Amino acid sequence: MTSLPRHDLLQPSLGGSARLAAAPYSLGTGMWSAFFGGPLAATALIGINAWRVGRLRRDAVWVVLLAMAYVAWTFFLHATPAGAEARSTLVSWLGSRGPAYCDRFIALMSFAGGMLLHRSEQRSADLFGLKRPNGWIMGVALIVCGVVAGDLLIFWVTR
Amino acid sequence: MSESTADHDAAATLADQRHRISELLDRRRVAHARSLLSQAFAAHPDEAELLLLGARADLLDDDHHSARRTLEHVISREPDHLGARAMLLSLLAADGELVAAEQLALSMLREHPQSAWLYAVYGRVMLQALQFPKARELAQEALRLDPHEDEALRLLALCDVVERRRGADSAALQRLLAQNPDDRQTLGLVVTALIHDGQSSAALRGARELLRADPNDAHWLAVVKALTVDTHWSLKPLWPLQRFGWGGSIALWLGGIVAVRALAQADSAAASVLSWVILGYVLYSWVWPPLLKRWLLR
Repeated sequence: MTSLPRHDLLQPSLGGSARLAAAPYSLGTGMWSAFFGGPLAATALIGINAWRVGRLRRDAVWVVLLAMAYVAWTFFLHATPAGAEARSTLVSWLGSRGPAYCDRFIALMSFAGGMLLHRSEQRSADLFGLKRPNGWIMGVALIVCGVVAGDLLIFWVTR
Repeated sequence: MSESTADHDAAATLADQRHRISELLDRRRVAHARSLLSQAFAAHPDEAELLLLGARADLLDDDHHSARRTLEHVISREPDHLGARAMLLSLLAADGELVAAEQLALSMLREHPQSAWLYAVYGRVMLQALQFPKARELAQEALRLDPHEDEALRLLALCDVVERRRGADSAALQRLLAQNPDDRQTLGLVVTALIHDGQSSAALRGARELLRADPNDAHWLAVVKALTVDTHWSLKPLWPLQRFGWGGSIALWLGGIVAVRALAQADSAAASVLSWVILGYVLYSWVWPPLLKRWLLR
C-alpha cells in the first residue's frame, strides 16, 4: 500500500508576500555589459539577475565578494609599489593596454561566474520561453555606470 | 422504437462524434473538427465534453482567451470536472499566470492526494516558476506514489535538462524511452535535451522525426529550420562557439589576446597575421550565420 503523500509539498510557494521569480537578463546582455562595462558592471548584473530570479539572499555573498575583490585588486594595482611593478609587467607582456586587458579578463571571468551561478535559471527561461527583459537599456546603463564607477574607483585609490 | 433505445442511440452517436473530433484535433485538422463540433453543438449545445473539445480547438488556434472562457464556463457548471480543471491549469501555466496555476493545482491535489499525475503537473508549474528543488521533490513524490507515471518521469527529465550539463543522459529520460519508445512527448524531450547539450546534428534527426509525424506542427517546424541552419556545413568552423556558447566566445577573446601578444614578442608580422585571422573569424561568426539563415529560410 502506498504511504500518505507529503503534505509539506502542498504548501503554496508563490503568491502572498513572496515575489514571483522573473526571467534573468540574457547571456548576451551579460557578456557585452561585462566586456565594455568592466568588472563592476558584471558584478552589478549578477546582483540584478539574482534579484530577478528570487535568489538574492543566497547570491549576495558572491556579489559582495566579487565587488570587494575588485576594489582590493584596483587598490593593489594602483596604490602599492608591488602593484606598480605588476602594472609594468602587464605592460611589457600585453602592451600599453595591458592593465585594461586585465580588467576585461576579470570582467569576463565575473560574467562566467554569474553564468554558472544562474545556469539553471537561464536554461529554464529558454526552455519555457519566459519573457526576457529588454537588455539594451540595462546593458547601456551598466556599461556607462561600470566605466564611470571604475574610473572613480581608480581616482579614489590613487588620490 | 422505445424512448430508452432512442436515448441509447443518441448517446452512441454523441460518443462517436466526440471520438472523431478528438482524432481530428490530434492531427491538428482544426477546421474539419470545428465543422463537426458545430453539428454536434446543434444537438447538444451545452455538453461538457464537447465544450472541452471546443477549448482544445481554440488552443490549437492560439485563441487562449476563448479557450479559457469555455473552460471557466464548464467549471462553473461542473466544479469537480477534472478534465476542465486540468486543461485550465495547463492554460494558466502556458500564459505565465503561475500563482493562479499553483492555487488550482493545490486545490486539485487536496481533493486527489494520491494522484501522482497531479503532483507531476504541479511540479511543472514549480519548474516554470524557477523553484527547482520543489519541482524535483514533487517529481520524486509522484514517482513514489506511482513509479511508472510518465508525467513524473518527464518532469524529472526536464529538471535534469535544466539543472545538469548533460541532460540527454538523464536516467529519467532513459526510463521514459524504455517505457514509451514511440511517444512524441518523450522524443520531444530528447530533442530538447540534445539542443541544450549543444548536440545539434542529433537533435535535428529527432526533430525531423517529430515533424514527419505531424507536418503541421509549427513548433517543430521552427526547430527543424533553426537546426538546419545550425548544422549547415559552412558553419562547421563555428563549432566551438555553438558547442560552448558564451564560454567559447570568452575563451576566443582571451586566448586571442594572449596568443597575439605572446607572438608579438617573437615575430610582429606573424602576430599581425594572427590578429587579422582572429578578427576575420569573429566577423564571420557575426555576419555569416544571419545571412545564411535568411538564404536558407527564404
